Amino acid sequence: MNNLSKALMLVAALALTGCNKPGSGAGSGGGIETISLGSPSDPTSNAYFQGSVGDRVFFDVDQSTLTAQAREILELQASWLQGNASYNIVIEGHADEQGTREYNLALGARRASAVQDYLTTVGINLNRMRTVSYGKERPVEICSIEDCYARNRRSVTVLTE
Amino acid sequence: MTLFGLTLSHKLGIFRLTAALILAFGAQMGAVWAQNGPLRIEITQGVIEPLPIAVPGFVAENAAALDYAAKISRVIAEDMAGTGLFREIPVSAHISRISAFNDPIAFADWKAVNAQALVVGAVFVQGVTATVKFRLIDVFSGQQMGEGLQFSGPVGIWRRTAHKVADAAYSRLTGENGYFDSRVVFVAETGAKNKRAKRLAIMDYDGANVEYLTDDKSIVLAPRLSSEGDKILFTSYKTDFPKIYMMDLARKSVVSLADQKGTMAFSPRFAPDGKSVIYSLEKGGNTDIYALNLASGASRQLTNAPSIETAPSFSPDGSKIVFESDRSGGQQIYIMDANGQNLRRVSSGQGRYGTPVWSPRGDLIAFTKQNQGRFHIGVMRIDGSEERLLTASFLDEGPTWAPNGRVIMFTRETSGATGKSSLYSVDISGRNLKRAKTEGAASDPAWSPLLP
Amino acid sequence: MNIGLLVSGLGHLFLLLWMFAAGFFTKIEKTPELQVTQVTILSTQEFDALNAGQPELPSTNTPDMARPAAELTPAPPPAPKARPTPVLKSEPSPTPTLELAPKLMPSPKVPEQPLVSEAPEQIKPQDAPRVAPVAAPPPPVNAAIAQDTALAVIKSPDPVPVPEVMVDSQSMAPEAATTQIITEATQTQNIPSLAPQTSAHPKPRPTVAPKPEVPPETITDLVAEALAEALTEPIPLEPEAAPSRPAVGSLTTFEMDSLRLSVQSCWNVGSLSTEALNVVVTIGLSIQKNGMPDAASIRIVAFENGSEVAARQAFEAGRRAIIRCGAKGFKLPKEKYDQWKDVEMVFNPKEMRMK
Repeated sequence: MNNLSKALMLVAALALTGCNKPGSGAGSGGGIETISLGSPSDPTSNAYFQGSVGDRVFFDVDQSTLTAQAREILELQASWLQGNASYNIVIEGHADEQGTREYNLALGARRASAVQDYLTTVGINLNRMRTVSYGKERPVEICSIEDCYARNRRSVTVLTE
Repeated sequence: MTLFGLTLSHKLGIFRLTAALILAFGAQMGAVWAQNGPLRIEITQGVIEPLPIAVPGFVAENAAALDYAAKISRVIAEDMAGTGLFREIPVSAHISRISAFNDPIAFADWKAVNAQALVVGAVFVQGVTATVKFRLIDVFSGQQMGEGLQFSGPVGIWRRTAHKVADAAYSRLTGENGYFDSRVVFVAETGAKNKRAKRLAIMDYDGANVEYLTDDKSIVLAPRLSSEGDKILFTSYKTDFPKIYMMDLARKSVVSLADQKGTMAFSPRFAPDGKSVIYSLEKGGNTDIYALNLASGASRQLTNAPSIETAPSFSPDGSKIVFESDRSGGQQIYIMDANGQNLRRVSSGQGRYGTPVWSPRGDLIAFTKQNQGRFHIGVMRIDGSEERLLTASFLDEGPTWAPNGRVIMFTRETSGATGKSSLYSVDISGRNLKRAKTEGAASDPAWSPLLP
Repeated sequence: MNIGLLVSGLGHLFLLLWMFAAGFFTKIEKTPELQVTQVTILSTQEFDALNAGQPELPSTNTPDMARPAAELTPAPPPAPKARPTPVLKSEPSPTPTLELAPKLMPSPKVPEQPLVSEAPEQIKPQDAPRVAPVAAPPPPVNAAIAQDTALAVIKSPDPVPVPEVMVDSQSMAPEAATTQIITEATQTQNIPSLAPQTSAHPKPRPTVAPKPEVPPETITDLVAEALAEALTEPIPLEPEAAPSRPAVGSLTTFEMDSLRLSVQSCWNVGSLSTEALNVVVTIGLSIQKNGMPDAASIRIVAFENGSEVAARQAFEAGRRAIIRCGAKGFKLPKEKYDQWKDVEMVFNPKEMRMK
């Protein structure tokens, strides 16, 4: 378990490279009530989930298909969630600003749903999950270049109680 | 001789009506007509310029009207000039002054400043009632256009009274209805791009009389007005999940519509009769279009495809729905009957087409187009032909029609970290692109019908 | 045809206004706090009477005011017209009075055709050269105008050019005119300073007229004349028409071009409704011997591709063009007056439509 834990953390750290900059947002993009962060050193804390497990996955332009990298992160999320059964989750789907408002809402929903479907296949009970789309309403990056867009095309798994 | 597109003939005078008659009478008769018939020339090239109009300050018929007379005539002049179809000749250039409503018109003076139309008016204020009368003069023909008209209303809504006068003048000059006495509901925005606060607001079409309808605690999106202009549909994250709400504008009361747990409802729009609502409902990641009967509360699914179907908009007669779908791979515009049958694709050009809105006249569809990294507002006929792009920018979207179908308002957002949304309007000819006046950043405009 | 159109126009206008009024009245019952009402307060007949009775009109018709006043000089040319009088009589009210409207004030004293009835008095000035002589300003018979000091300055012995200069310097930062719609989307680049195409034709009138005695001619006029002179023989007209005309009668294509060009430079479709931009309207008119259009004779002969309402807008735009650009008198050869005393102009906006 210890070795596995370390391996998972390594993968998560790799996956998170480039999206942990200041100002990239803690998780929730909107008005969803999130739980307290707790200490990053506490492996059952929200902060640990966001920082060490990895709370988000990214998508290609106009796509909702999970990349291999995204599936790896979601598997990490799934194992963490199985170990922390008191948490429920809301999966937020987001889009970059290069799209119309309504379409991006629907696209964000597709992304959130793709994440939910995958988490289901790796053992998370559907009753613990909800999805929501913010479309392009809540970017984490505010510049208008592809680098930022890439980090905005995301789903974020938000812990709730 | 076809130089400059000239076509000439000494043809018969009232050609279309009398041609058959002439034929019946034979060649000799025809020769007589040809000899006496008028010279006929065809004119195919003109100019496209705003028509110069003069709106001298309205006459105050009593002391109480002094202030209103000046303000009302200014609003009328701004309404007219704001269309881009007219150009106001500044009052400072006027030679003649109107000192009484029924004064004879000094035509030579108005011609001298090239005023082709002249709006003459007077205001009388008694108690809380302002009475405005006006007449419209075709200066170069020396004729009054239509009857003089009189409007009375509370002084408190003098701007509306002014808009009504301007609508009447616009209508007489252009032959189509005006759009000045109308309102625009929109989303007022504050805050940085990544934590933008939004609230519903409504204003006169020209930016006056702003009223905020919701607080900014929840994200609100894309308000839509009923065809009576008395109710607003909008999407709110009030419950943390996007749902559709309906606000009664007079009472400011809000009810939730189409609330189903585990789903997301958005992009609502009223049917022309106001009795039902079409909207997008997302279930399990898939978005389709539904219709909700407001009286019974029953929903009916109109599209059933694994693709995204959203942004539905009724035809003015309520018989058809235009919407966007990415069933072909990218966003394109489709039309179906109001019951979901007879679906057909409309758009066919390069790029992506979204947010279609049927014009109040019924002949055009306004849309947002994305192509080669740019956004456009455009119009096309309902069969998809004669596509015309009116704007181009980093991000234009969400067209809404002025009640007369002549002008489109939309959201324009600038790029980058300091990017902000504003409302813009453009004539469907592509001319007169201009920013609408709002206090701060604004998005998602929806134009009301003409107020009663 | 014209009677029918007039009746139809009357009916439509009445219907429109009735709908207006009905809408307002019902709204009053619903929401009293927003009541906006309208009533008819002045009929066009009253309007005509009001203005026809004023001395200001004749004063503007004096020869030295010939240009701006042309449309107010409806005197028919001396030669009797082939066109029947009833047509003339029905024309001057394209926006007919609504005699059925309940709110309309009666105007019993109004003569039926104030413009026409005044015409005989105005014939005399018409025979004066359209070139304005240096003459005394018109008598300040109109009290309202006479007390206007600004006007006194304007109506100096050069009444024609002075207002023009003033117009250009003060009120006309002319918008770019174009015969082609250039939208933001069709611009190759999004450069704000990208100048739109300008009008293909010169402004209707010269911006500065240094001497009123010599009205400036447009370049097209000069070119047309020069070319016409250069040609020893006029280009034959269409065979069907040519044989029936006297040898001196036929206008050259250049002469007709000149007429056409001078009208189209004033034909502004910028404020027409989209429906009116589809209407092809044929406008008939008489031109007086001095080249000035007889404003009262301007009438719809035929129209296609639109409703009567749209046709009326198209007609009014055409009429404005004829009156404005004919104000100086069209340049037409006097010896061929028989050929151009009656003209039909087909205004076809096909190429002006938004594309």
